[in-house]
Amino acid sequence: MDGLVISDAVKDLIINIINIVILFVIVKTLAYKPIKKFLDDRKAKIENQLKEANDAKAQADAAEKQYSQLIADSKAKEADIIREAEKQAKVNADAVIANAKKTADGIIEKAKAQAKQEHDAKLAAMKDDITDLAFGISSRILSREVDSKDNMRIADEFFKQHTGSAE
Amino acid sequence: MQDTEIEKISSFLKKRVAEFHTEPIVYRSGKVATVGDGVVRVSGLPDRLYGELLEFDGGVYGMALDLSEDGVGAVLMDNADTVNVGDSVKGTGVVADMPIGNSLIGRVLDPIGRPLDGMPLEVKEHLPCETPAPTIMQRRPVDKPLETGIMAIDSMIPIGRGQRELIIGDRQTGKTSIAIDTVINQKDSDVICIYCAIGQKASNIAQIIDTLKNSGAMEYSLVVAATASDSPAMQYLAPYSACAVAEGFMKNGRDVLVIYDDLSKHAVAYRTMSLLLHRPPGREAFPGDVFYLHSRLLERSACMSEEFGGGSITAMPIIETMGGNISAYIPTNVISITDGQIYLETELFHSGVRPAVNTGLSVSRVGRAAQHKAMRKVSGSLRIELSQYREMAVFTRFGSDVDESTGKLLSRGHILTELLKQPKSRPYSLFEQTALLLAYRNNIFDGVEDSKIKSFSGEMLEYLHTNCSMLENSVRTSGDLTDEDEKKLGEALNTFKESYLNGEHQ
Amino acid sequence: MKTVIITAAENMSDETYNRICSGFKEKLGEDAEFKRITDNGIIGGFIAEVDGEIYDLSISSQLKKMQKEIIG
Repeated sequence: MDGLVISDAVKDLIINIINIVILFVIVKTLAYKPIKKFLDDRKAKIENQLKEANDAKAQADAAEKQYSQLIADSKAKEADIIREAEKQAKVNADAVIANAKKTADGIIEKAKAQAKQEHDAKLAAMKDDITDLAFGISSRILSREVDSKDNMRIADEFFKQHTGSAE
Repeated sequence: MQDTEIEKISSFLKKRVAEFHTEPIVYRSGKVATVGDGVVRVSGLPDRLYGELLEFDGGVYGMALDLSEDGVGAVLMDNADTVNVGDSVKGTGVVADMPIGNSLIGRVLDPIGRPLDGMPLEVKEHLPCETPAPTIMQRRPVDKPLETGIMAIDSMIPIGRGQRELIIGDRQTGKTSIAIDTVINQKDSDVICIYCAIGQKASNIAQIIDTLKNSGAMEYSLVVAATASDSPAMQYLAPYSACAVAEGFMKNGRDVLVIYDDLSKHAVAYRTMSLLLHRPPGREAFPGDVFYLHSRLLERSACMSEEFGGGSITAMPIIETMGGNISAYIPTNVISITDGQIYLETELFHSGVRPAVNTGLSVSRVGRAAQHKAMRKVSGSLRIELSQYREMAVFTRFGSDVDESTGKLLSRGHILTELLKQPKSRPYSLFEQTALLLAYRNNIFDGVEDSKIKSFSGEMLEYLHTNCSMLENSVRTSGDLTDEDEKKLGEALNTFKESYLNGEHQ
Repeated sequence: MKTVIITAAENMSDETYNRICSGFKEKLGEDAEFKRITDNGIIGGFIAEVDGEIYDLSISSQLKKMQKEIIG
């Protein structure tokens, strides 16, 4: 029993140490874990926010790029439209001019043809009149000039050609 | 100037006189035994050809149509007042023939080739009025379209070159107008048009010739005319003469359009002639060969194969019905001969649908083979839509409520009917028709009031002419609407509609 | 017996007429009856009609034929 005499001071010390250990365990369980979790969460949240900010920036950059591309495109298209319209206008103008020329040519051709037609008709009528006149005169002259010798000649020639039945 | 003209004439005459050979004139002569009712019986003139032209004193001609051992019965082609009993009759040895050649274009002729427009006619070649039709092996299938410019016809009842398409309807329904509009539309094509007037009033024929002249159609057309006051023999011969002229062009590889206006009067003239020649009458007093009368005429319209020139004759005969009766004798005959009919109805005409084409009863047996590719693309479902519309249209009369799909059908049918109305002498080109039908298919007309459809389409066509002329050219030259062009056209139509609506709201 | 009708102008002598008649008798190989018609309109020559056949050797017809051919 001598050894078992431990001074009160040591007894207090041991109890204190045990208290501290118990306290330590308690604090660790109650406080350390949640606090660590809290700190971790905060860290994660901050990281997230940073990432979002980066994303947003990237998006803004992309949008800006798209926007300037669009402007460039529409400028190009504008030029295209103007070119198309000019081409169209020229085609239209050419067509109108060609048409007008065709019509004018047509009118001239028609007038020429009509003039020629009238001229030909007059010529034909004149030809008819002259031949009528000529044959009228011939008939009158011939009816006076024909004599029996001519008639005999006609008869002889006919029978020379047509001995035997015809056809 | 005058002197050289006279010199030219006199030297010409002198040359001709010097070249003249005297030959004895020998011919058979008959004597007129009886004259009456335009029929002359001639005795003593054997060995005549059937259909031969006989010459009477005074330059009057007759056609020998009744040959027997006792003599010849001839129908006079001109008036009979100069022919007396005992007159001598000469046989010309020639069956009726017609002059042919390019010098006929722009002229008006009678059925034996004499000019009716007062100017002399110089021709080198003649063809007989009656010739046998081309044989089976000489033909090729119809493949090229003949555009009438009338949208109702070109889209649903298309006509091809070499086809026979009958125009049938009551009087005053626009039959002649359709034919004349088709002629006017051939302006920029290489088709020669022949208008054959049979038994019509001279004033009508004069008006038609006027219309053709004013629209410039006489530069590629000619007219063969037998008026109502001409003898039945002239009226009988007229369509065969017109066909002979057409054959003259066809054998040179040209495409020809012949319009027979109309074959009802032709059948009546033939009946008159046959009864006067004492031939036995058949049904409706027509002679027994009245079918053959028209079948041999219409069979001569053909599409020739390449080795026979590649030309074609398209025939558009016209028949007038009484009271819409297409089951009468002559109409049924001709319907069975032709390759389709365009049926015009009086009711449609009076209710404002002009051209008054009944698309249900009208048909073209050649059909889509004779359509431009562009038209084929946009006109596929038109007939079906119209026939469905007609079936349902009776509901609109009672003002009854209809379900949505029927209502849509009715409104679309209504729009289509409005679109197909077309004024006279205003043909639509292929591009215009394609554009209008594409607009219809893409529902561009939805929301436009009925009364405004005409003006809307007019403005739309103008807009397209100004802004899509390159598209127009490509459709016109190629006859096709590529998918790309179709898209561009669709966009242009949309643009127009927007601007039209905006214009309205302002 | 066949009948031959001969049309001639006044300027045809009887000698010529008889020559024509005998010529036709020879041509037909048999005797024939002859009828004479005078018509100055034919100017000269003659027109003979036998059996429905007409032999036109008149000067007027030749002139008409010439006129028609020359005009063309």
